[in-house]
Amino acid sequence: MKNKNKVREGNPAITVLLYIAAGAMAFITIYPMYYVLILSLSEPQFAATMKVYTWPKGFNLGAYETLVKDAKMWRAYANTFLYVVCNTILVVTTCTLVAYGLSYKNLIGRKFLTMFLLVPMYFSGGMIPHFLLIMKLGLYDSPLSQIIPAAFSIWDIILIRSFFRTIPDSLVDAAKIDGAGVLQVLTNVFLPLGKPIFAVIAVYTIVSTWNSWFNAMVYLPHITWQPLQLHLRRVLVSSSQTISQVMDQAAAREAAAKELSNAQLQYAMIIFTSLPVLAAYPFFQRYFVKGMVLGSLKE
Amino acid sequence: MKKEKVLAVMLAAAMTMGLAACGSGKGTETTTAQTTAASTTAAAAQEEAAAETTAQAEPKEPDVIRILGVDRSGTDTDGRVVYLSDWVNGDSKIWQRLASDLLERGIVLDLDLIAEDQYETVVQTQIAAGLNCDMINLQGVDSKTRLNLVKQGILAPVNQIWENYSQESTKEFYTTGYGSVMLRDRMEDGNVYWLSPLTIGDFDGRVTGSVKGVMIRKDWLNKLNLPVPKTTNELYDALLAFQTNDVNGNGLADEVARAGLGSFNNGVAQFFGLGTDLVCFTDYDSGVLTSPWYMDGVKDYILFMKRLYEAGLLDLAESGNSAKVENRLALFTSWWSETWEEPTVLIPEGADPVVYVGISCDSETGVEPVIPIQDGIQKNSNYQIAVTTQANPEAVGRLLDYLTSEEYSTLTELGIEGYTYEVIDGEKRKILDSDISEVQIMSVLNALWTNNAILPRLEIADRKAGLEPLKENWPDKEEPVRELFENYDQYALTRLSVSDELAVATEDETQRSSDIRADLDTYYSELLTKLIMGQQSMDDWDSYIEDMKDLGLDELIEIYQARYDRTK
Repeated sequence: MKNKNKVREGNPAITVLLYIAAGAMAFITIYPMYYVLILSLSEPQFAATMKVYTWPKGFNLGAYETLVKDAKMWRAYANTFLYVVCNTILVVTTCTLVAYGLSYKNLIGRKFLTMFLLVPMYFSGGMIPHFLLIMKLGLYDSPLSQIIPAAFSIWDIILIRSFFRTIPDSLVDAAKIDGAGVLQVLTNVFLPLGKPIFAVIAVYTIVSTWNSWFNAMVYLPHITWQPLQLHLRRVLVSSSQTISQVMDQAAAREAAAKELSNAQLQYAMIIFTSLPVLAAYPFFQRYFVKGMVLGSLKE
Repeated sequence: MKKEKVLAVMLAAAMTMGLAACGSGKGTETTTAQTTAASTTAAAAQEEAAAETTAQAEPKEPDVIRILGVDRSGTDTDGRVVYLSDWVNGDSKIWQRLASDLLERGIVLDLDLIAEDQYETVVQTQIAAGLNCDMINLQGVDSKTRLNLVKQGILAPVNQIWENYSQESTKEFYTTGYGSVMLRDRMEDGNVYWLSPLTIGDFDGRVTGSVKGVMIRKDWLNKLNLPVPKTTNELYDALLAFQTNDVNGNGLADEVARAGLGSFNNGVAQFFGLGTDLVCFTDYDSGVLTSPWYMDGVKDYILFMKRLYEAGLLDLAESGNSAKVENRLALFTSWWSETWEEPTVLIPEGADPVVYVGISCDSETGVEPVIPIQDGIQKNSNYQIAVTTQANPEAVGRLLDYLTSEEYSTLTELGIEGYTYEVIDGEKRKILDSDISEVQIMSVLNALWTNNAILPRLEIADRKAGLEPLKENWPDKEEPVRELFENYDQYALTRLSVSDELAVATEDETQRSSDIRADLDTYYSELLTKLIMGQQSMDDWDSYIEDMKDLGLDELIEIYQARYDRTK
């Protein structure tokens, strides 16, 4: 039979075009990262010009040496790990418990409770009420300000609940016939079967916590408990001052001194802060795909 | 089954109530807990200093002054960024000296140091939540909020503190001495609520400010055997010659001048006698305010800039320093005595060392060029330190005694004799070669507790002595500065910053100025740029002036004039 879909199925010209398009997309994605890498390895003077396009100009690991010796950076790294671990465990735990309750079909007031969750998801109180709440709870300037408010996620609850709904009732009934109680159904049926959705939630939480800095900016005035991204921001912001705009000689002199040392440092810092997530991405990738298609298929 | 339902309801309800509590804003009333772990306290260093001076031990417990300020940083010669908190928590001898000096006066500083990039956010949120400090750096606090803080009784009148709790010499300093420039910041109630940094420049007994103006590549002029330009036509020719001769030798005609198109504060405008801001003084001494748009040289300035633009001689990048670093920058604006820009220029091996020197050019239009200069007694507006009503006024009064002393000024500007500076032939010279980080920092900067940190600066600058190291190492650079200072009266000067010379604005003035400038700044900046780039015609000049008048230019000048007149 004559194939009417030649173009779609294995046409060499189209295949070459698709490869070129995919290559271009890959280049657009990868080159900025490569550009930052070669800038971080170039001599500071060349890094300051930003005209390094293919290979590093000169070779200087001075910025990495400075970073490795920077105790504040390591402290920020440790803080970020703390927030990532705590937030991931708490988000998965709390969201699973709420979602399990809400997935119970005979739950009284289930619709009301779901609405009760959905409203604040779409309409948050805003920054000022949130700040006042944090102050009154005594969380200001405390690492808990980065953990407790992030320990719940209504969106994640909805995701988990949707997944739990796909678990056949017959499995739950079978467990009950075997004498399982509410908690045993959760631990022996829902938790083992929910591993994919927990992985998705964990990955989302890890990435968002790793990249978060704004809450720390508002709630953590001192550097002791600040996360890595805020430290990175500091390095980037302090290098963006234009010397001619400074009205004070000493400040202008300091800005000039920083200009060169920071030129390379800021790129090295970007590499340093991105490395863990970049390294972990290939392992997480399949869970991202799962997370995106979750709920898109109906039985 | 019923039991299971109840359990499930309880489980879900417990979690949703938890969520709701997080979003509702109804928390238990607790005190604002500032964790002391992160707070940088100076107490330890000061106790150490106290041990060294047991013979002079204070019988009374020292008063603690808690200061909310910026954790300012400096870069040492190894490229390491050092923060004030590093000094305070480490073994900085300079900080220990400050702590020891204060302890002798019965004062201990308790510092709440915030990173510079975060300070604005923190100070605004802390003001909203209720301040818990004795003194505060007001950086990032706008005029309206300051007025509100005064109205709410949160800020204390500093003038009443120096009147009632300071020594006679301190009172004199602030009322009739150099510090009397602080009185420009008197509010409508007659009180002063914050202290600004102060620079007193002296050249052979005459108060003299630093010069900030156009600087040109002298090594390029030398390479092409060109004289230092004395007129704007010579300047144009020199800039053109740099390009046509490819003076940087990179094969491209890319040598450019940086003179911002959208502002009068670019040095070149001053060659045509114009002030540096939208509202400026007609001359240095008269105290009469006007606008560059009303001054004689404005049209000639625009035409000259247009000439530079059309010849491709201007760097159009509004920010960044790539032209300078890439060895393309022929001209820019900076402090005439600076020596920190040159090392950041990337030159080929074997090329002559980079030297930028200050120039002033006659526009040949009959308008006398002006040179932007700081006031000899310069009250800087880049940061202010206020005292709150929580503070013990007696302790702050003693602190003011110290902050106005020569001892404090020397420690802040030069450090410790034999450690960070030495006295040679009666002149104090900073030690430039040292392996010690803080000595390296002090060799190029002042102490980290000033310049937008925790305490106001008192700089007493000997301009003549300051030129000596310049003469030894950068004679080309030193020459125009010395020429200006020695023949001060022969030059027409303009004030570098108008806002520093004005009394603090009233509530109405703040509101009106802010309303006017919101539109007028955009309009005039765009207009200036478009006129230079030829996108708008000079033929419609009168309509542009009318537009600016409609937007409130004259009213703005009146407001500024009223503020200036109140300082008299």
